[in-house]
Amino acid sequence: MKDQISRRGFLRDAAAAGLLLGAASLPASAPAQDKEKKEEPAIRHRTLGKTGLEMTILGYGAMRTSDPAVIRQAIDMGINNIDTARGYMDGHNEEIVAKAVGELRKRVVITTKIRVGTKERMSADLDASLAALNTDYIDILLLHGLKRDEEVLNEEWIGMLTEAKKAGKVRFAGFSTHNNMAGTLRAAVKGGFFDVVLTAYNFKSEPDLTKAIAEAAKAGIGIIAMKTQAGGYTDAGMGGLNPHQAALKWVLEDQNVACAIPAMVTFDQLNENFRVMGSHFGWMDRKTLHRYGRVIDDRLCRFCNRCAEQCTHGVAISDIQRCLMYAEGYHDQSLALSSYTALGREADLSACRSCSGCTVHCPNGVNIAANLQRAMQLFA
Amino acid sequence: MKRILFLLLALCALCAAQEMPLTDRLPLPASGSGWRFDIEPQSYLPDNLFEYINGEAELYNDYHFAGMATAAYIRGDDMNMTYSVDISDMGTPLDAFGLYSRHRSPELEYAAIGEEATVSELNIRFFKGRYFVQINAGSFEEAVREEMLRTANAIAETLPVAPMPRELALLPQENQLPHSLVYYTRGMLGQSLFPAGLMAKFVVASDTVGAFLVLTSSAGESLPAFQGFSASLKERGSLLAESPGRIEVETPYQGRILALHHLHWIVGVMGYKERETAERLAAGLIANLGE
Repeated sequence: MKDQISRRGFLRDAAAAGLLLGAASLPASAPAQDKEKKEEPAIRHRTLGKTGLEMTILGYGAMRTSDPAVIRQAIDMGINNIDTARGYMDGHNEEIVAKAVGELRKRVVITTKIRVGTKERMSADLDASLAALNTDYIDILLLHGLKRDEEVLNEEWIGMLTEAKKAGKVRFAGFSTHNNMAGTLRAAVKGGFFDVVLTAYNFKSEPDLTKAIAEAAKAGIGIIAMKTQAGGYTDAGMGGLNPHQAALKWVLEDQNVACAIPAMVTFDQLNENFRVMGSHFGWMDRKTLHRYGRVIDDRLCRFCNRCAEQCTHGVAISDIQRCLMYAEGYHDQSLALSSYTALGREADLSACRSCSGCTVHCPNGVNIAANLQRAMQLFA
Repeated sequence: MKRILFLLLALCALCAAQEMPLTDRLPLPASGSGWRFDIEPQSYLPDNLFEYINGEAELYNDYHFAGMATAAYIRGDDMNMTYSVDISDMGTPLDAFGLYSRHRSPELEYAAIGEEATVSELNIRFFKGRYFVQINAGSFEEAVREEMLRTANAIAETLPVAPMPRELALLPQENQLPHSLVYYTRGMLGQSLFPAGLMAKFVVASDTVGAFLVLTSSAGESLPAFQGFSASLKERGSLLAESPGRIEVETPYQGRILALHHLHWIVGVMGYKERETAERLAAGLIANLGE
């Protein structure tokens, strides 16, 4: 995959990686090809698999954007790919993108998504997307949110996409996935039809996903990453630590990822993410993620629910940790309290007060006793 | 005494209605109608909503989404006769309206379901109280649409009534383009500093322009927001005029913007051609806010 970084930058980063080996596991990186290095922030491109599309490594996730001016500014800054979906705001998000793109259509790679269903419904959705986006063609059309391997091989959906391609309505086809990402990626390799996969991917992802991404990239599938910032935690007791840039850089350090599409709403977020393009994952980023990981690791429940049957008093530990996350991660006290109240007396923390000691063990290393103590202070 | 008893009973009924589990608000398929659950009622919470609606979950969470009950219905085994129902508890009527408002636009077809509904070939959306409801068709069959309408009305009848959020009256009704009012919880006009706000379109002297109001709780909060907004506007556009608490800028993407800091509000007009139009509308916005 082509990527534009300088020899000096490559050596600097390699040195940094060597110094910090073991601090955080980076995805395996193919050797990057040098092309140019400008003053920060520089525009960097990578090729999106077999599509041949040259994508800026920072794409624009438009999902929550309400003002086309922010997207337009991103285009003017050089960002050349925008992600939206038919389902976002019932197509209004596509209209917002269309308004921002305007006469610059040919400069921008537009990705949109349709939900799977009957062929008739999907074709109607595609036509509606074309109308909302005010364009004759979609650069990349994704099936929205595939979960199971067999969905990736669904002949009816592939048939619909093939016809759309033949009709010139769609240039490249793919799917997005939030669940079973490694499985669906491998199914895509096996099936051989899809050009692009948009996958959730961040520094908290399982190593197997990194492997699956590499396998898919090797098979020519263009990889776009989403959910790159690993959740809503921004400053959960971290003294103002902001891991967003470091988290984005971590993803982009994987040369098998052509681009990332963090959701942006404001000019500030755009500028913050844009600066990532001119820099690389280095020592400070590793340190930031390491610190961030340490802060959240013992408090962030993965909701695997393997603690469920360990409490003999029936305390809904996973649910209480979720309530705690609302309070500490989302900073939404009312949501935390209402969610906790909804648990009811049988599952709340009442039993903890008379319990001599918590023996519940979390396989992911979450300090459950400490979390329940904080929850009692918050919700008691 | 009877009156007090009645009020108490009404209050109890109201409380009971509001405490009802969300999944219980999903209507059961009418017996003998041929309709049945295709997917049994399920619940989603903020941290797993994305498993159901993918990236759109972020928009819901922006509006303080508290929970969703969803189910899919099918008539017999006919895959063309399906629809799904999502009932979302947004915590407050303002958030429910906000999410609803992000899905509507003036040119859509509207119906009197709940407080207001948009109706299209493939979906029905409405809000009532703190609930936002979305019903999606699986096909274009007329019978599906009829069933969806029946279901929408049935759900709307069971949802508790709540007063319309008073914030929605902060922008004047006069000359406001119907169905153009939108409530944002973040990022209005692309500004990180704006905590929440309202935008609507107004028709003034045959010109359609935008108006906005930033919702802050005190001058201590609104002044830095105004100063930050002014700096952002000057950075991105050409300054036309500036005086304390007032700025006018020509921006490349949003056209001309006139913004004013008034008490603990920030009000503004955008996309206008004539300054007089902006001045007149801004004066109306401020007058509507009162003291």
